Amino acid sequence: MPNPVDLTRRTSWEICDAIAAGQTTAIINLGAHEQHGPHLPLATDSMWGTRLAEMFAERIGGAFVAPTIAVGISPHHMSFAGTITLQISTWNAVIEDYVTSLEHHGFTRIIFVTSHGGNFNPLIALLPDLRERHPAITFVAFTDLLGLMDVAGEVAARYGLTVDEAGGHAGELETSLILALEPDTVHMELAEVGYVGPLEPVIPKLTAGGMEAVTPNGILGDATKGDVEHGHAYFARLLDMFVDHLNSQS
Amino acid sequence: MPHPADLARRTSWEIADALKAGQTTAIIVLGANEQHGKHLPLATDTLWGTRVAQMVAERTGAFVAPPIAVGFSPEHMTFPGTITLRASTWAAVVEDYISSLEAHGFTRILLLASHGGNYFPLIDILPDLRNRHPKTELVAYTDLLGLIATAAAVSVTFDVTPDESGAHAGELETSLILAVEPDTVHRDREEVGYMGDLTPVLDQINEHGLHTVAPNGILGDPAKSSADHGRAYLEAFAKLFADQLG
Repeated sequence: MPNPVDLTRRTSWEICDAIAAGQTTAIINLGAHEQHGPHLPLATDSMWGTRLAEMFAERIGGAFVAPTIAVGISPHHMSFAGTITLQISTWNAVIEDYVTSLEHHGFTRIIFVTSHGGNFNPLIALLPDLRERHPAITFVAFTDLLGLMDVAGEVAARYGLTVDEAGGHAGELETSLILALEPDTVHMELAEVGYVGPLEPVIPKLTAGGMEAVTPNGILGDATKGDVEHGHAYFARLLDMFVDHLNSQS
Repeated sequence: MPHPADLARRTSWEIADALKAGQTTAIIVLGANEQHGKHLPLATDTLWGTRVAQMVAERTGAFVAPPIAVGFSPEHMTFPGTITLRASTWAAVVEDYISSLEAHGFTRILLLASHGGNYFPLIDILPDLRNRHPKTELVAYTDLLGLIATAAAVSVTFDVTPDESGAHAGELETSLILAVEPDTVHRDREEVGYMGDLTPVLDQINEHGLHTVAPNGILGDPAKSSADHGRAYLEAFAKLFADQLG
């Protein structure tokens, strides 16, 4: 059965009734379609981001999950086959059009769940404009990528792993998330160790030269340590992080 | 198991190998998130479009790119939950998909529109797209009335009239979703919609909204819908779109 918070599987009439009853929060997952090493699917970010958005909607109530924006800002992955990226201007326009449409129907609060690192800075840059153009909408966005990695590090430590092994891309963190979500898309026999080190110092190199400048196999972290139980723990902790952030805003 | 043609569920390494082996056709579904009456989900067009694309892929060895799940739907905006892109936004998304796929070595791209409202914008942007991407063979089926005629040729074999089959949320689309994702269909809420010819009301729908022709959002009559009909429509559409690839 489809998840009742999934807007795409609901009818227009159901949405109409729900809005009238006060269900006026929409959650938009800002995902990506890009390489995730030899072992994870291209849709990795959109898959776990959509699931997290659903869990978020279930937890807070009164919310629907809009169709995931399944392609994001991924120019730094374009040397890896299959990656699709939007230009920042295109991505901004898509978000604006989602917001305009949802606002038209009576949604009053829009929460962005960003599940791809490369979307964080474009979102930070876009938010002031969005807020100016849509003063009647309350926007909530968690925009602290390094804070997200700190939270991931807490979970990793429970299993004797470092945050560098958990990794910022296709490492133990994302491998565990997809093992918990859609295990038949994970090729654990192909999982490899990628760049295992702090993320912050290599971000400039990554932005300038692409992922391959930092990690030829496309992985930041150690994918071989991925584990389904870790994945469930990451989901639970990331959900708490988003909920805490939301509560801190209101 | 994920569908093997589903690009989103494949790894980058698998795509690199497939491209080297000559698997260089991609299909982009131009879907929509818009009202489909009281009984069908908002994602109806994207749902059946994605399934047709997979069937085309099975016949042609293509990959199916992530569907563009929101399309050009201003004519449905009076119905809650509908999300529409501006034509300029939609054109930019289509172009960015093409640029990305071309960069990896895809040489042929089928644009598969499963939402009627996407047909005119698609016709508008094709010449520019072909100018800017001369190395990529851009294949598109742009005859909306031809698509409906293809459906009518199937529905007549089930004793369903073209008016019942309908262009939006009628017997055609209800049958398609019964075949693709039956637990999203509310058969107990079906209603009869606008039952006349589409051609004379197309302009009114595009200019003044679908609600001015059909207040319940339906063009057609879903009463005779069935999963069997849906599978027959899927086959006919898969053949129609696969034929465009030659």
